[in-house]
Amino acid sequence: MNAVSLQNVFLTAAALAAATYTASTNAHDLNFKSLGKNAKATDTYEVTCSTDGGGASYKLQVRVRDDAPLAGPLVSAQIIKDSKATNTTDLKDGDANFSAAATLVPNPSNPNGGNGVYTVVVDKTKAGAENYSMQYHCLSKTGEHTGTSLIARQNQ
Amino acid sequence: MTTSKLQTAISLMFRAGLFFAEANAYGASQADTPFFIDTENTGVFRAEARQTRWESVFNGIAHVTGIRIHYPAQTPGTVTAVCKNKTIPQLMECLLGSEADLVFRYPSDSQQKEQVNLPAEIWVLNTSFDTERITVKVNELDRCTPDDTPKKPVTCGQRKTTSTTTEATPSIADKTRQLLEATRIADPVLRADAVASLATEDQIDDAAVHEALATALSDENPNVRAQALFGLTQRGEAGAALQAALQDSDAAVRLMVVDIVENDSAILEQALGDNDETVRSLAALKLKLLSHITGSQ
Repeated sequence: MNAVSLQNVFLTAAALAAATYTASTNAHDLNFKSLGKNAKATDTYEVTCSTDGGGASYKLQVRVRDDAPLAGPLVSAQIIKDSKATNTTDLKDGDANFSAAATLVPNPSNPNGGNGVYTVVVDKTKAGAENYSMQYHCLSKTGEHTGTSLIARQNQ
Repeated sequence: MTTSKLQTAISLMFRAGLFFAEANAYGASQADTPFFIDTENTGVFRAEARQTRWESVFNGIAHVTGIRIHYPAQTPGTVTAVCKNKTIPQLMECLLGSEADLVFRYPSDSQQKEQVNLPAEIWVLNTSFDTERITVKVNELDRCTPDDTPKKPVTCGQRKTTSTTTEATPSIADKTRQLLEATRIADPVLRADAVASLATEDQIDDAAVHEALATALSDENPNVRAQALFGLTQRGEAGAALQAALQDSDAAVRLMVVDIVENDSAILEQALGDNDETVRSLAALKLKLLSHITGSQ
């Protein structure tokens, strides 16, 4: 097989993989990132929830999706703030669905107590490179979107 | 597995020297001393470290107990400690100090009653590793209360602690200098961590940082090269390095290129022909997103 036809095969396979997903351009979607082959490869983000038109934040909600290619590791996301942490794992690799939502409420007794910086960690269960996407939303007590921003702190 | 069975297994591993081998496998460099964790068949965990890197300590505990430990990528300090504790949370507090911010997650199933001292996961948060910290602690369990709550690190009653701590908070200049020096040390794991830190920490010597990152692009270790790319991109200085890195011999570097690129369709299209499936898939997904964005404008 020469280089040109090999590339065509790759293009076809990649196009099929891409067709599985619905591309989203929501401001709070982190589309198509990767984790390296090391079993401990971890991406870390700082998500800041703030007050905006939706009001003050009460919680951060995160979902993660294990994207193509089909590979062994499962992808998980953890939300950590102060002394609290929660986790979600996409149990099915390569489909269009995100995991169940992980929700962290830092201060349940205070409806305005969710503003601040959260650490979101994305990792996987074992060795092998993986691609993933993530949705992250700061929400008010009534479920309205509040101010949300994200900074990448570690990319492995 | 019950706690007693686990402790027996740990003891057997220790006697057989299996853990020692694993400790080295976890990246203990010549400058690093292996970390030992043992049980004395009395329900007590005993850990011993002599100028051991934190990574080796965490990996050692994770390996022996099966607990998943999440810790910061940059842990350049070392620890010297001898700790004897009844529970893993207490052991972690002994090693890290009472000021450490630790989160423990316990299994929800009923078997947890038999493994009350074993969390499923531990997060090490807001703990300073960026100083050269020498800590010696010897703890005695004699005065520990028998029913310490495992979900929250506790200090055993009048626990005897001898502690000598040398700790200095470095200035940004000191920190930058330490990171720059760390980009030249032998251990590739620490080198990659140092390079990654240069991208995200405050620095004052931009020229030296840029030079260190640019030099790291040709490091012999692919993870170091990948982190150099990430660092330069974070600083807006990657430029032609991205295109060049797409020809790298290691897929980890090429995957980092595609991971970083958002709008460069030329690079993404080129990556569609990569011989690594993960690289190809990510490029295809990003191109589809890019066309979706372009089409909607």
